[in-house]
Amino acid sequence: MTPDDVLKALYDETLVGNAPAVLEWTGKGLEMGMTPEEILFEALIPSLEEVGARFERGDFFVPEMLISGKAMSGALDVLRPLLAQTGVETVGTFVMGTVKGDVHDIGKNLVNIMLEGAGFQVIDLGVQCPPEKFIAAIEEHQPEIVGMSAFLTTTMPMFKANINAIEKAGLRNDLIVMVGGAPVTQEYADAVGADGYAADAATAVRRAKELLAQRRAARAARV
Amino acid sequence: MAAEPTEVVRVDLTFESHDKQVRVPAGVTVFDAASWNGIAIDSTCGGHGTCRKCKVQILDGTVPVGRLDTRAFEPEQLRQGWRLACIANATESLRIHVPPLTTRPKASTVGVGRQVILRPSVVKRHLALAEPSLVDQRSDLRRVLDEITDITANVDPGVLATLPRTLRESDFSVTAVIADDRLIAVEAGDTTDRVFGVAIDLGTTTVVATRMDLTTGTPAAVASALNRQQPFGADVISRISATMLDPDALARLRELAHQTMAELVADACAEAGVDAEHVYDAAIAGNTTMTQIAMGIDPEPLGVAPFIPATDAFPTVLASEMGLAIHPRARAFLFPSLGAYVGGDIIAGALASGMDRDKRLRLFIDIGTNCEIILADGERLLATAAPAGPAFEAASISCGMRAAAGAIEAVAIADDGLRLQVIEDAEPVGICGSGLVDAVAELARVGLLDHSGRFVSDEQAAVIAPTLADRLVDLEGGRAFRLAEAADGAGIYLTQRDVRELQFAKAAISTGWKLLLQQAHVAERDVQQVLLAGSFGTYLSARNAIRIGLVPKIPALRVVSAGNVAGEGAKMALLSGPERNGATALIEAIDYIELSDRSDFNDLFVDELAFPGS
Repeated sequence: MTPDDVLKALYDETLVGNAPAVLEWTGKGLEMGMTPEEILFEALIPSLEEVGARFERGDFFVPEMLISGKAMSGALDVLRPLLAQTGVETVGTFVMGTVKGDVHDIGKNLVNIMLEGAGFQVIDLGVQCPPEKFIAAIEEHQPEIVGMSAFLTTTMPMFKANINAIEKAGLRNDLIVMVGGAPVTQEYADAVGADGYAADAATAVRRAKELLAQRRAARAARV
Repeated sequence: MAAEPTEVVRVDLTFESHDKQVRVPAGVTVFDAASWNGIAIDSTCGGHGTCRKCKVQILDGTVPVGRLDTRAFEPEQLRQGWRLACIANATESLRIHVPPLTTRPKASTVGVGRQVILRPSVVKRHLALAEPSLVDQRSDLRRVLDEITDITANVDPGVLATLPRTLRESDFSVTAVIADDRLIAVEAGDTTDRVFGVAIDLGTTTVVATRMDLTTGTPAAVASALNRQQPFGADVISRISATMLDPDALARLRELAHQTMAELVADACAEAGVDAEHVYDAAIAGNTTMTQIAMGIDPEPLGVAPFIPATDAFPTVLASEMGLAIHPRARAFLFPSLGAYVGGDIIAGALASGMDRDKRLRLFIDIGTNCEIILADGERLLATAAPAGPAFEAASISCGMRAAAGAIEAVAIADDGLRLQVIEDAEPVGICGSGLVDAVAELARVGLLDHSGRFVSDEQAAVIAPTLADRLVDLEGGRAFRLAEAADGAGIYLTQRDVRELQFAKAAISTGWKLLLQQAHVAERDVQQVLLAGSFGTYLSARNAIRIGLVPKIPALRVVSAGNVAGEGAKMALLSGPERNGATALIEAIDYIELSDRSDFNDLFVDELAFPGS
């Protein structure tokens, strides 16, 4: 058995959401002396990317995405402490919540899965999050990105209220704000002053990575 | 955590004379309970405590003596248990004797086979008054009231302005109009054959007005139109958000609701040349948002969690305040709402379906953007709302359209291929909600869609359904099934994403009724009847609704389309005061279960996305 066999098995088993097998292959890989980064970046993340692509086409649906995500998080639980030891940085920290007055969270949870699948550290604030909750989480976790979800046109105005509150708290600066949810559009996102919007979970991850790269490039240019 | 449903205290009433036992919520009057169950008790005031004709004898059980009882009965009769049925609250089980009727009450069949005894709130009396003289110096009003011996009526001040002239021009032959114990009009001559009311189903999309003949209990004319609020958005949430964005929108929306209703009422009168002044009563069944907006009440809290309505019971208002140009002193009854998303339309529907008076385990399902579900089994009444989204209106479907000419409304797969039914037999231009359900159910049945809702591979398709396999194609952005060639050469497709949209919608609904069944500790197979309310339910194939898991897996014959039950409930409220009270009693009797509050909702919802196994 070669490391390539392990990577192939991890990729395939994550894609079909076989959590016990993913956990088992993760253990085997580590025993063989593979690094946690290798397992994460060369098997798990590409597999979740494929999950996202299939979801975009409608080949995969919510249940398939959830079980793949679950299989991956089982492996992540094992890998995370090891990654921390080796000092590998996460792709970025993402604070996520459904806005105040809204109780919908299935779509938001799918985005979380895809973000974790792409290597982000995700802090999920749950549903009905008032501005204060976003602000407290930003202060505590110092995320690069804050994501806000709203499923109702009646709760979308909370995006603006949250962004105003974040500005007032002096936390807007370099922070990337992304918004999403069934009724949200790019135009609406622009109007409330958000930095990014995506129509579905897979696109959200791509957009988050782009925004992060832009922000880092801008910061590097400043230095 | 969802609250356990509180035990509804119910009492058994045995009508000895009719050999009938009924079970009703404690506190209901004997008169209402009898009326609801088709047992007629004499009454001319319709159960308002003024005519003193509804005499019954309590044989077993106790009903305290009321103030009006002491006026209606001798002490000896009171000791024997005689009471006025309309003020006798049944707080314990009773055995009751109802004397034979002195008049023959009329009954009408409305709703889902409901027999309603005609007891409208509006009563007319033709009065041949003695002309005043130097000897008989009674005032005009006194002269009228003295002739109405069996009803104690308050007088609407508006009556007085024209009273002297009306009496004299008609040689003192007049008709008194009493609505809910209020004298609202005195008309010249005998107009007792012209007593109308309007029942209005105030829907988010469609508004229907039915002019009811209250002397016979039959519908006289119907008119329907799209709600003029449509430009503000298709669903209640977009109407609410419109009021949040623009401070003038609420007033505008209110005006548009009034205009829609006024126009329909005018149409329903014009048809038979009926004078709108002879319409004395209105009953309006609307969802909570529509009702609040029509009353000019800020709907914002309805659109934001925790979703709180302004009131559960709306006060009775002047019909003119709802924009209705009927009799100027007519009043409008607005159905009460149980919550922001179980509104007056659903309460009216539950009333029309007799959800509270049937011992069978029944589910009432109103399919729409918001789906409301009621479970009843003669003991419990549980209700919930599930956000199904717009799939059934086909708004989010790639080739979706409303049920109009050219819409594929039914799909079947036969041995020789695909069969489509198109509205008005036109060239197909799109697919509507019922066609969507059929298409998905049939494709799942033959195996072109797997259990998870995914189109199978081309190789599998070629084996499973060779005659259809070439219809399965790769379109930009995913797989799709070609239903038809459109006239312009483009195809009408059911895409993989469309299937997913339908899965979301049906999962929201089935999660709703499964949680209600769970809450009531009953099994899916024990459901004895599913009532599909609303126009969509009329066109839906029961077999296919079962196949995709939209409704419980029970024999298809037990899945019944109930039609426009909200409108039927509004008719019942016009025909009978006791039924109107029944709507209010339903609010007390139904326990509302909030789904988004349950920690297991998401897990169940995800499980429900798949199609049920065979």
